[in-house]
Amino acid sequence: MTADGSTAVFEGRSGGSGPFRFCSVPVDGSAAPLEIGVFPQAFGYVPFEVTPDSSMVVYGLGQEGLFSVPVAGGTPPIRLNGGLAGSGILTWKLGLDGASVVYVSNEARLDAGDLFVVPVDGSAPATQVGASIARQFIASFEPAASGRIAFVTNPSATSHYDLLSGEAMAGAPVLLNDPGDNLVIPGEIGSWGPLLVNTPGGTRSIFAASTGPGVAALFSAPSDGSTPAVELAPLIDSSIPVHVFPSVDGRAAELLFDVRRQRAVFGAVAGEDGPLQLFSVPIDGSAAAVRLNTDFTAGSPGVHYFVLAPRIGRVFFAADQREAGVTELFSVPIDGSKAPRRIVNL
Amino acid sequence: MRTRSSACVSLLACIAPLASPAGAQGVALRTGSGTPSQSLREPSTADVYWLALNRDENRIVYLADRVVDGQARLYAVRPSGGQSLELSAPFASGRSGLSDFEISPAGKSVLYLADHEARARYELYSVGIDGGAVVKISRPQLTGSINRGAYTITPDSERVVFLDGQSKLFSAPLAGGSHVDLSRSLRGIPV
Repeated sequence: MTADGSTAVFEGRSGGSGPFRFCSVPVDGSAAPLEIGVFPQAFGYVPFEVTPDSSMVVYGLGQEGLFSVPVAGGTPPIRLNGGLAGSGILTWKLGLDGASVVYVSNEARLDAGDLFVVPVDGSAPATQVGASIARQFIASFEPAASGRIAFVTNPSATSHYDLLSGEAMAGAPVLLNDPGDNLVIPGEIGSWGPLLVNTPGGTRSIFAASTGPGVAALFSAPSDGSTPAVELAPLIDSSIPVHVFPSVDGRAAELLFDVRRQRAVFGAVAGEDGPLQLFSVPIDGSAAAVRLNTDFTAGSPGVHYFVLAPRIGRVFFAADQREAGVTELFSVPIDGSKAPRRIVNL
Repeated sequence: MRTRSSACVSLLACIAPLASPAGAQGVALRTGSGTPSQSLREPSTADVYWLALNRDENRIVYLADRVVDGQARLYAVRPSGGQSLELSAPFASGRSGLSDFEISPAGKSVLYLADHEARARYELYSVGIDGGAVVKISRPQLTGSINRGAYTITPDSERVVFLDGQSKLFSAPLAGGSHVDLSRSLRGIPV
């Protein structure tokens, strides 16, 4: 769906085989679907996104490439990535301004995954962010509202991963984490990606890092690397330090932000079998994290769901806090200044 | 299409009635792409399956089996608490109830997926966030369930765009009215 609500964009293929076809159609059915692009992929589906201004569709993956085309059609798709033989697109995201696409590709050298930025309209060639290093792997990246891109990579081609932040055409990226900390927590190697979230304004990155054997913490650092990262909260020795949640826009998010109060709310498990608990912390680390829930009944799995209400300054969560096996709704101030209050009694 | 449009966050797996793909998320282990992927542990006998807040932050909408065990119904309550209002239409015995819901961007209506008409055959319905008549979202023929997540409300909150069980794309007014086949000229191209 385009952001203006006028047009649906979809992909399909004939009989489950053949190329994928991208089409756009007015949601009121006032015109027939218009085929705007074709993509010769054999399996699965082809990721695509519509730009926030509703004007362009970006789609593609793998060796077939990354393309953009107007939602309204009229011109053929434009290939956005470079063309080194044998290279491909590993993953991509729209920049938050919708004017650029950030992607990981081995188009600079086949033995390295590198980060690139290209205008959605293809008006300029892609620009690489950072250097290309053999066997480098981009484990995670997040475009920020500031225009910078935070990304987790292993510049030494080892299992040690750092958080870097850079911009297209802006020189070498800066290191955001303490050099001794590893963005890939040992328990995550091979299965989970790093935890990395940019604050809504794009001025800071929040990330989890291992600070030693079995010890991890949540950190916050200014995106330009102007001051060192600060620890927000310890993540108690656990295989599940922080959880991913579906966020407002349907993307996954590890934390939810209250921009007004400059706080982050997150869930964490204290111990492998402990209940899932809610915490709130200022995003600049200026005060300690506070726990939002009170103690649960014995055997409780803890908090089941939560929503953030920044306008009224509260967090609502579902938990069997009072009676094991009975999940009820509670309300608590985002800053944890008062104890939770039950609002739905089941 | 989005899997969620409300400011709702899931920490534990939803129980059996909500266990179809792309719906209410379980406890989500982190993955490289950030996609919730699996449940942490077996769910308890949870009564509240999911909650969401409308844009104005003056209504919490939630699913709960507060009347019949295992039958999820839709409720709304003010953030300050008080009496919950049941939004979903009554269910016959043996129905699972709701499988999913989505608050409209304007925050005045709720779209939900439920098996009102036949057990385990899920159709789309809409209702005002303050209650009132439940409206079935029109589609041409009953060819199985509409899948969870295969629908979205337009940003102006006027229409629903959805895939039916035959991978055809439709849109219909959220407040009720005739559907439009958006893929009508694409014979042979399942969406």
